[in-house]
Amino acid sequence: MSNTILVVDDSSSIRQSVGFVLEENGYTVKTAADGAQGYDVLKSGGIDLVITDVNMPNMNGIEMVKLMKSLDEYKFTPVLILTTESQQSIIDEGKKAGAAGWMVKPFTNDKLLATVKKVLG
Amino acid sequence: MDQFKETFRVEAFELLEGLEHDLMALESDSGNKTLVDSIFRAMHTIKGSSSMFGMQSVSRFAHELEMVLDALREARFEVGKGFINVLLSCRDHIHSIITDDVDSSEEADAVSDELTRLLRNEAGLSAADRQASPANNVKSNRNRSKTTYQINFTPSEEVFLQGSRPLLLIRELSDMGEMTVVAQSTPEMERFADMNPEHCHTSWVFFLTTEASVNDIRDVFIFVENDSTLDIKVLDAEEPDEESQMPIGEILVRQGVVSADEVQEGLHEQKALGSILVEKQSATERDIETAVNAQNHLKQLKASRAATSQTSNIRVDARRLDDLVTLVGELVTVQARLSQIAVDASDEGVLDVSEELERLVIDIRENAMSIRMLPIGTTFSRYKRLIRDLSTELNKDVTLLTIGGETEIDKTVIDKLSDPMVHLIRNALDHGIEDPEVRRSKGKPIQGTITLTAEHVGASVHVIIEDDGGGLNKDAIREKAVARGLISESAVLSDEEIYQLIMHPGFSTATTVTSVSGRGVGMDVVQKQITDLGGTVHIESEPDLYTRIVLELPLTLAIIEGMLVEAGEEKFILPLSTVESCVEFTHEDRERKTNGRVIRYRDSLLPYVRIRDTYDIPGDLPEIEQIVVLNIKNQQFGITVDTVVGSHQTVIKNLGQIYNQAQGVTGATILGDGSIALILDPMKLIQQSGQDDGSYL
Repeated sequence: MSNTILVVDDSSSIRQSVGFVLEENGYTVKTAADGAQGYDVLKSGGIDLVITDVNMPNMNGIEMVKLMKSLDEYKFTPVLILTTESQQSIIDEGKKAGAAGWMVKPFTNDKLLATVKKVLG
Repeated sequence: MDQFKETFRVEAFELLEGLEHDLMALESDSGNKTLVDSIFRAMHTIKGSSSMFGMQSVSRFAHELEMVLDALREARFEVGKGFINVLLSCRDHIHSIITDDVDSSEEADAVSDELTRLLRNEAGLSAADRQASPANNVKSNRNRSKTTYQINFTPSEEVFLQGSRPLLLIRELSDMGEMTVVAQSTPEMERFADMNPEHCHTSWVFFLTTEASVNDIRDVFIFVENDSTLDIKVLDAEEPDEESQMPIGEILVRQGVVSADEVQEGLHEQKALGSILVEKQSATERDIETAVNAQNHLKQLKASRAATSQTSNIRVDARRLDDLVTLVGELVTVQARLSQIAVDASDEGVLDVSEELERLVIDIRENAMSIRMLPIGTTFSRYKRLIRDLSTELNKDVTLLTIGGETEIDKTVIDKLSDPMVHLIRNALDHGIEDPEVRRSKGKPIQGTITLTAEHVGASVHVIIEDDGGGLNKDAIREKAVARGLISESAVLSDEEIYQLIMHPGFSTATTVTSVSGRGVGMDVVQKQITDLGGTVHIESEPDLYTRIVLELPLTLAIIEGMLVEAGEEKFILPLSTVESCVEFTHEDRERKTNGRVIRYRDSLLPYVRIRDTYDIPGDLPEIEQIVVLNIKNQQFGITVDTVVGSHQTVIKNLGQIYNQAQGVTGATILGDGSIALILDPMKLIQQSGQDDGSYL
């Protein structure tokens, strides 16, 4: 049973490229365009890892993570925050909300896979 | 030291062979950094080990070469053909010094100096560059040495809630080197009842011995570092010492738990240091426990090093292997006798033991044989150099293609194959491949190709040497054979028979004698050498297209898996690898046959030979005979016998000089009851009977 990863980003190119790389490497991928959509997907269950952008319309990534952590199913589910440059404030905020790690855009496919592996095993 | 010198020589020759291979590969792929690195490493190893074994002149020379190669690694010049040529000569020079085993003769040193000068010229390096590089090497070498770290890691209580899993971090760390993990509960957790199961109450101490740097280790903890306590200390920067073991006191000092003075003080009290330090409250019990763990980590590391260095390759004198195989052969024979006795006595207990023994013997035999098997590719690469040198000498452009280099064959066979192979390749280059102008006028590619192929066919290995040259000239061969009185003018010969004539002693058709070949000793020697190996030589050729020499060699010279069959009173062995199936051949079948010795087998006609007929074995035919269907090179044919006894481990014994000419027989073996069975060569058998009346194959 492959791990299911939810990719939340308002940029469709990011969603597609990240999704493609992950699927190529045996993960099941679901996508959402903003926090609200992402939270809907989360509620339907079965997500093992969330990779989410922070600045998004409707609901930003941090709020989504906070909501997600309130669901019993996702108490221990890892979250990776996508940031554009290494903004320590966003990283801290994400951590506080319960994110396991972060990734700075732009990143290579190798870096993406290594990071996912780091939190999913 | 002398006992290791042989090992050094073997290693050096292997390195030099690899060097040669890489250099030639570099010639056609000059930008290949992997090759340059590999060449540099080989030279570096030679330099190091030759100095160890008293070959100072080799070491000095290799050092000079290494400096030039280092410049090449830094891409300070480009590789040209001249450079490769000189470096190959350097390689040969080292080879000859090591072969002669004379260190520091003036002569050799003069050659070394001259070669160094030439190489620097080719590389376009001035003498001033000489001192530039070694410092770099030292640095890069130091980077590679291993360090033992002590890593104290206490994650935040919330770590699980952040979706981080310490287990994954531990796995990542342990992938970096050898690691001992010590888990401790955090001091905050005093009562079990107080434990929050969603929180993390564990801290860890890792002892990690790795090539990685502190930053590499910090990277592992990147996501958790900010909320955790992470402390990385260098415990031991050296390789674990062979002799000494780091005392607890020293570990505690390095860990920063106590000062050296406190240790000294404690040591004076003649009690266990740990308990003294705890009493004095210089250290807690936990500190001491951690230090003991560190000590154990270093101890285990040392032990595992010792173990792994012993499980690598062992070089064994080939003679001992031969002895082993002979002994296994005896064992197989004795085991066969035991089986026979067990069957005769029909004692369940003995039968059990005998079957168990048989299984073991088969395993031992396969093991012993596999030790002797080597991939033939190791020799193929040697011929590459030969072809390169010869083609330069003959002004021909020739490339070597090798197929099936991974095919394994008995070491003895490989060793004895070298001479005939060299001869055949020389022939192919000299007589086979045409001059470039001739090739152009024939519309062929200017570059000639020699292909070496090795493949398993049944119980034998075929080694094929093929050139895409002018092919054999049938008429010239025939004419010459007649002139030499080898055949009569009116003889009717098949193509193959004409080609076989070139293997007649003293036959040579080259119009000019070159230094390469054409001295009249040649193919006859090749044939003799191959025959001595129990193999055969076949020649195929097509004018202006190719000449193909096929050497059929036995897979091994010692033991084969055979099928024991009987005809009359006689017993025979057929190589099991060639057997496809067995079918019954009844009295009615015999009556029904109309068109010679052919029967219907699975929708096709199967030619067969009856062993009784071939060897004139007396006695009445049984009611039902057995046909053993053999498949060799995708050709099927049958051998008719009285009964099929079953599979049999066959120790091949030579028949000796007198019976050498026996038709279709490759040897004999001793059976369990002491009787002898002849080992048949089915291919020969069928060819022979085909020749007799010209009807088969």
